[in-house]
Amino acid sequence: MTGTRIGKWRRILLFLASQAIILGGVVWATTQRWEHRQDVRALPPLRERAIKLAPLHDCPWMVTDEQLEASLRKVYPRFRGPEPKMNYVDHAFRMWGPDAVFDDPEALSGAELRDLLLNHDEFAKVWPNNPPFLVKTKTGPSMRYKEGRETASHIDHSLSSISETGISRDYPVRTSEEDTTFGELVRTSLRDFSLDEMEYEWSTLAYALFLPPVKSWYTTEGQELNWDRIADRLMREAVDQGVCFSQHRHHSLVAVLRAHDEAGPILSPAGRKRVIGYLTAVSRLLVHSQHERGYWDDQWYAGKPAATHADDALSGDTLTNRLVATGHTMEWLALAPEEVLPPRENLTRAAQWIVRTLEQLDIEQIKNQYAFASHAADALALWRKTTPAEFMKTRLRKPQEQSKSSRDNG
Amino acid sequence: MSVSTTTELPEVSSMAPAPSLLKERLSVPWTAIPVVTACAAFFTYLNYIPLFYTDIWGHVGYGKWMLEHRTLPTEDPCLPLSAGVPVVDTSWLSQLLFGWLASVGGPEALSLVFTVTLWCTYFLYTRAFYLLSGRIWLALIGTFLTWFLGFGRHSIIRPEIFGGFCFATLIWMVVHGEPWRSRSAKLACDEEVDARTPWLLWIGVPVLFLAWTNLHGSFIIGLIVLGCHAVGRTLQVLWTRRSLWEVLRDRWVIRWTLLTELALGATLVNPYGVDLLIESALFGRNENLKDILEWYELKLVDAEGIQFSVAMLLWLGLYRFSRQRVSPTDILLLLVFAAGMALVIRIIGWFAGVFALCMMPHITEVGSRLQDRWAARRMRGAESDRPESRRFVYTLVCLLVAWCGFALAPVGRQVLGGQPRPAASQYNERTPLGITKFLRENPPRGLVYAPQWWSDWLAWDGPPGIKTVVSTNIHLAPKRLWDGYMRVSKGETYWDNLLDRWAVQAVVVDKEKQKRLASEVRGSAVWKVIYEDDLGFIATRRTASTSG
Repeated sequence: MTGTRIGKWRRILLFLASQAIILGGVVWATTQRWEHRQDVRALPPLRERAIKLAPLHDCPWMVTDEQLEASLRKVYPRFRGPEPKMNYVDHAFRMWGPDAVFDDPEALSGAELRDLLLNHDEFAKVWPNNPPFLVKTKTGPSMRYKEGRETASHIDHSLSSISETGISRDYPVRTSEEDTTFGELVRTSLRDFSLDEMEYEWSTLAYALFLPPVKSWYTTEGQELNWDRIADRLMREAVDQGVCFSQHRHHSLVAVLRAHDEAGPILSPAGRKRVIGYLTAVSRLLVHSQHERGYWDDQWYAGKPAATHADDALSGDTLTNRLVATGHTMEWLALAPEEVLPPRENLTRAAQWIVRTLEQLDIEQIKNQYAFASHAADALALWRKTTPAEFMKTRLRKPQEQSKSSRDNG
Repeated sequence: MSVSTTTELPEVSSMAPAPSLLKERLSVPWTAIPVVTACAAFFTYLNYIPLFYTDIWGHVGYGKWMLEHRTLPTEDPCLPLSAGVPVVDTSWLSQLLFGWLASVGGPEALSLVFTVTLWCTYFLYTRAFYLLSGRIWLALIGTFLTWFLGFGRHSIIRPEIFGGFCFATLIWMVVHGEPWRSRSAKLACDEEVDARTPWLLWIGVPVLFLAWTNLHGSFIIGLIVLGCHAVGRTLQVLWTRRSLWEVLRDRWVIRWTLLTELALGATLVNPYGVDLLIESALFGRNENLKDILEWYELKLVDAEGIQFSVAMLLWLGLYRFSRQRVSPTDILLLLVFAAGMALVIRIIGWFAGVFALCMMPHITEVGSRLQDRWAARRMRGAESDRPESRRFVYTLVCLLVAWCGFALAPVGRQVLGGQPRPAASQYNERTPLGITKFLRENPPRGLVYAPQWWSDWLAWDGPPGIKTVVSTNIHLAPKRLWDGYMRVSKGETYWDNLLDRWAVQAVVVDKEKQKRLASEVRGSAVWKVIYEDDLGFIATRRTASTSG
């Protein structure tokens, strides 16, 4: 009787022990696998500081120092005062960078521009009655876009603009609800990113500058991304599709290419070859489409100069289109490697068209299309292998000169 | 005369004939004739069901791809926009089978495997219900109930049919291996029967789950069934004995628990290991599925809702009139599967089997009482009660009926030298045969937008290497891509921008299901219709888009 009871006890204990082992094993194995899966799908790490694409070509015959100075003075960020358009603020910051100072009291310094973008307290001073620019979303801190003048013009436009200045990952950011870092803004973008995004040019530009060479990573949608895939996405649509006549796609491709060449391989050899081939083909189209006066317009891909009338237009959509196409194109070409560039002759004609156009536009006209003008002026500086802030640093007028200049202008 | 309410097999003694003449041994009662007729008719009916135009072709295509590449796909080879979305192929073995069948026997082979699998599935249900009821007519009622509730899910050939077969096998094993389910009253004190090792379960369950896991992701359902048995039995013992000690001593608590774990262990034997388990468990959480009919929540006005309501009424009625005890396991199974169905109507196929299983003891009890009452009334009215006679001629009639069923079925006609069915009969009438024929003759240059329900067919029957925006593997489409696809499918604003974004070069439109898109494409200055038939049309860009 006692023996039977001991036998039953033993059986029960054996059963319970086996359950503990089996269930513990299953839970452990599943947890391990789940954690591995989460690790694989974790966001990629960020560089400590975004890489800054240095200008490659110094071509004084394209634009002289005097012409460059005159052009850059035209595009000072004269946004002091209430309610500056945030689209212009981020364009100004990407062009001038954080160290810029100006000899015009109306112009915001680089540090002031940065504070407007990354410090809600400063933003609230100039936009007191509007919703914040920096907000906390479900996926993390983010910058509002396409919701009015107090927001950016495109998804991740501000993010890429600030990244282009070589900002640090840990740069402090103050949103309306919390203190965070710029790296968190990039991570939020990575969490929200989809390869099927309608606008993807600025996100990919920011990632190219901020992500170290990683083999691949996963989107929140579960799609594995690598730079070949992103580059293919940038090249997928027809050449005329995209914001600013698709020139931002080319700019992002150049950034990917430069990050690959200078900061560690991120493209496969075949992928790099495809990007070079694509940009070279675009360059060929540009050569054939360039107007004899030097500009490109919304038909830049047509293979022949489109405009035969209103060649001297200095206002309206025609001029805007030319400024958009030529400014953006010259900017990404200035950063592109030699192997994809059109002949210097074409580039010089385009640069001179920009110089003439900026010269003829008055300050108010430029203020009204600041975003486009900033790309054009930035392009001129880049073709002189400098940056706007660097170039202007030694050319700033002293206060007495400023007042004299004001009197002269008055 | 006392009314018998036992559910013990009554014909056990009569099924042990003396080893006399072969003719006598092969004799059957006349009641076998309608049963065989029903089975033969069901076989013929199943074999006449044309191949559907949706995901079967994706599965066949995957199978063919695997046979060609000798490996499992890691990404969908036909969906460039879903590149980078990892594929955990929960049906790889079924697909391999489909791919092989299609290559050796074409569509008729697919049709045959569908017929045989489904027929065997319902045969197993019938057998299980017969074991429960001991009466063939009651078993057929149970099978009919399963068929009726799961009607919406049985006519499409896909790996799920193998899952269904495995499910029916599990139910048969459960009924066969477990004596207390239906015969508790009789065997409650029969320690000897209860103590017998249920070898069918110990060997059958791991083997079944090993196959099931590799055939279809529905093996999770099987694990739930076993888990419910373990928990249900625990609750039952706890309720009746009021002692945890007794729970731990109970033979069937231990058996069901270990069987569940054994099954779980068997599911790990697959090319993906534990990942398959995780993927299968998480599959239903994919947000894209919300746009697919079979993944909708239960609505009582829908067909499944009506079927579900009928089941609920039957449940109430049977519990009201049945004198059979209600098992906690059955209650648990019913609640779990009913809750599952309330969330996703696709569960109805599994709910049907579980519902019939749980109702069978009550159907048997009520049915037996009614039969006995009817028999008693008949005895009072008649002079004598003639025993049911068995005749060899009935056997011959049964064989003739079975032969007719086979001969009338398309497979039989082909085996007997007849002409194969024309394509219009082999394939569902909404299969875009004309569209794929045109595309084969005029292969599109780039990506094709097609409704997801036709994309698999296009990939199978269209020109080699054709790529589409999405397919019936909708879980592989990143959410934003899927939302865009749905937008285009409904012809909503920016449909053409989305086609530009994807660099689509040809659009296939289903005229019946995509009326608005059809109208938008026809009215577009960018798209030109180049082919049209009764089902749909193909449009391409008027001018080729410039590429860099």
